[in-house]
Amino acid sequence: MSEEAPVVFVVDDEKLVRRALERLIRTAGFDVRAFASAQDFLREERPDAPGCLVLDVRLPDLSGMDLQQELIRSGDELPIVFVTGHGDIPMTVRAMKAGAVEFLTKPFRDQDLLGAIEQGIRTHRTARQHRRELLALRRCYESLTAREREVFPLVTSGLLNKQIAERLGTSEKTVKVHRGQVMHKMQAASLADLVRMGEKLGITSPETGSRTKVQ
Amino acid sequence: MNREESAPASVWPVRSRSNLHALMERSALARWVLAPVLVAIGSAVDLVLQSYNIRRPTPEILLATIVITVWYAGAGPGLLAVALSILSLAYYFLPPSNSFAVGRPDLLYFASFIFFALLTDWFSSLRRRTERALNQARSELEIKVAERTAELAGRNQTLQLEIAERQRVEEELRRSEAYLAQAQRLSQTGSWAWSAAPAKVSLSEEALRIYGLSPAHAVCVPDILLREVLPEDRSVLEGLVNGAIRDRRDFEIDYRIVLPDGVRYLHSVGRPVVNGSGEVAEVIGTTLDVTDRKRAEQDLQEANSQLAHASRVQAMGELTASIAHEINQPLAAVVANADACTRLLAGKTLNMGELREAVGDIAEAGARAGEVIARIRTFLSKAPPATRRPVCLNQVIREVLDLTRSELDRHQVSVRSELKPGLPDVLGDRVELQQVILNLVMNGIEAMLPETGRPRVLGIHSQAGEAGTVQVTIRDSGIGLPAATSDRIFDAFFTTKPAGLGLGLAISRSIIEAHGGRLWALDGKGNSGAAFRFTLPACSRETP
Repeated sequence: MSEEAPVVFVVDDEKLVRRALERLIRTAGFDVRAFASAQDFLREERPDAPGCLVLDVRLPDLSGMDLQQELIRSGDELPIVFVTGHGDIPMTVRAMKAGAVEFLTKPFRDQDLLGAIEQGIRTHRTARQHRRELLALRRCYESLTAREREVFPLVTSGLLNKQIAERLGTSEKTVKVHRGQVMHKMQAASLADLVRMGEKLGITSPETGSRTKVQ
Repeated sequence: MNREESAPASVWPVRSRSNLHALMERSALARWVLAPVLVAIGSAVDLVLQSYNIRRPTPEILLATIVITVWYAGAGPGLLAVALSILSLAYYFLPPSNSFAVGRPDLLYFASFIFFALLTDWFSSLRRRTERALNQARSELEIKVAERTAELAGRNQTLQLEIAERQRVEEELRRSEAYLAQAQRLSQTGSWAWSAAPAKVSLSEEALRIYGLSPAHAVCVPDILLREVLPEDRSVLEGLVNGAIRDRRDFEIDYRIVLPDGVRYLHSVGRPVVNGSGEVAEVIGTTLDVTDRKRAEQDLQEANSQLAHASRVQAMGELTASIAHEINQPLAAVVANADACTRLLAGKTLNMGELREAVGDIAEAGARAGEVIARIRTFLSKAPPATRRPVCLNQVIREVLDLTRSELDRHQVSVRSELKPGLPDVLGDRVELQQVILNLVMNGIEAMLPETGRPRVLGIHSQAGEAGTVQVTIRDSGIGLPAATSDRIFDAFFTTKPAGLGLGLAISRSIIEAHGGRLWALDGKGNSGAAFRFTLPACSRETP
């Protein structure tokens, strides 16, 4: 699958630092967009590309930590590399627990920052990939009929067509047709493939008879 | 004694004089009786002498009676004695006897007797009068002498009293001078008089001691004195004395003199004295040796300044996080730019524009870091005491806000500053004033930390205060001051903070008061937070 060029976002209220980070990241070959405040960053329409956010902890009004919480709340998976003039341990722990890629204390070596950015981009890229796959799977899953959705978990739990037919109170032949439809619509190459898809979609164990659907 | 002294001057038989004369003086009858008695006695004696034929009848005895009568009884009875003597002569001694008739041959004799009797009477009267006048004059003289003597005695007495009084006054004066000298000695205050023409200075004993001069210099030329004064103070002192003489102005001056045992600090007060013709002839004044006081003041000032310094170091300690941030920011920019440059230089083509900008930013960031360090160094410096200069309070406030910006950001405190432009400067020590404002700002931040519900706002407000002062108010939106402690917050070692030394406000107040101002807590209304205000006297623009 083709992937767009990554974009690195920088939010730092200190002009000199912002310019320096922007320059360093740009010379390392990234597309950089810099902002003086968290609000400016939030207002910006972001391109649909993998990226990373280099975020100063101490910002006027909305702080870096606040922005992190804001992004988590809105389901944004953009990885964050925190930079701070002076970080204390509780602050670092809080940021890392909330999923930050790295917590760097200024001044830092370029390898540390760029390495963290690359790691962030990688993470984001993977996350985006997963999300994209999940979306595709979900689209496929949504094309299934109600009956086919009933058959899906029973098939992935390894039941035979006969057993499925018994459970559903229908003929083995009908089940076989449904099964074929599921395999086809889900674009599954094998039963193992379908099982993995079921896991990804969160369609689990039919033993209990429960059906879960994960958004 | 005068009377006794005058006694030997009298040659007169005092006793007979006093008896017979006193009788004659007293009684006119006695006077008039004396003539006939004496004439009778004289005639009787003559008659007796004649009857015994001792001699021829002569008029001498009768003339003698006239003389005696005149002498004792005066001119009137004298004339009576003359008449009686003539009659006695005519009756008893000139033939015919026992008749008043006088024979022709005796007429000439008789006439000559009358003539001599009258002559005797006249002469005796004259003598008596002269004697009496003399006597009179003598007694008058005696009285006058007595009077004069008495007067002299009186005057002598007065003089003696005056002498005694003067001695007393002199004694008193001496004592008073001794007291004055003692008082001058005790209070280390000397007095002096500085006259313009001829130029000379008179010094009291204590003044001599203060200036370290020998008693030979009690009156000396001003140069002797001025020679001791430190060169930088000399012209000021001279100018003030001359100004006092010229413009009749009082003056007061603190200056230093150098003596073999070291520098002494003196305080002099002078006042021109206007003479009868309305000119200032001299300036009188006092000089107080304030060396000990000055040294104590300096020691105190030093102790205060060390305490203030310690408190600043502590304040800085509390700001460590912010300071680290302040310095690391530009350092980060330097490092990042340098790394960018390395990458740019490693590239196949050189982007000169980008390189130039990066290097420019490095320089700017380096300078920024230097500024931060300098600001902290200034704040932590041990400023020599009393480096008072005109200071713009608004600028000091801005510097403190710069210093605490990261601290304010860190705790998400927004600052609302209303700094009145064009406020007059105040005369003060910049670092100490920074310390006061920093202290109040840090207190404000700390007071708002427990507040989570509402925005943290620190208000800083500067404006012109009453009576030529500049007023600064710092208000937080915290919980405010507990009423019970608000009157103790300025006490040293009183603190409501677990880690506080309790010196911040005490030192702040002592700094402000040392600058001639006031620092107090404003009455909090409701839950509007705590507010502190200080005022400092504005200095006039022309003050150096």
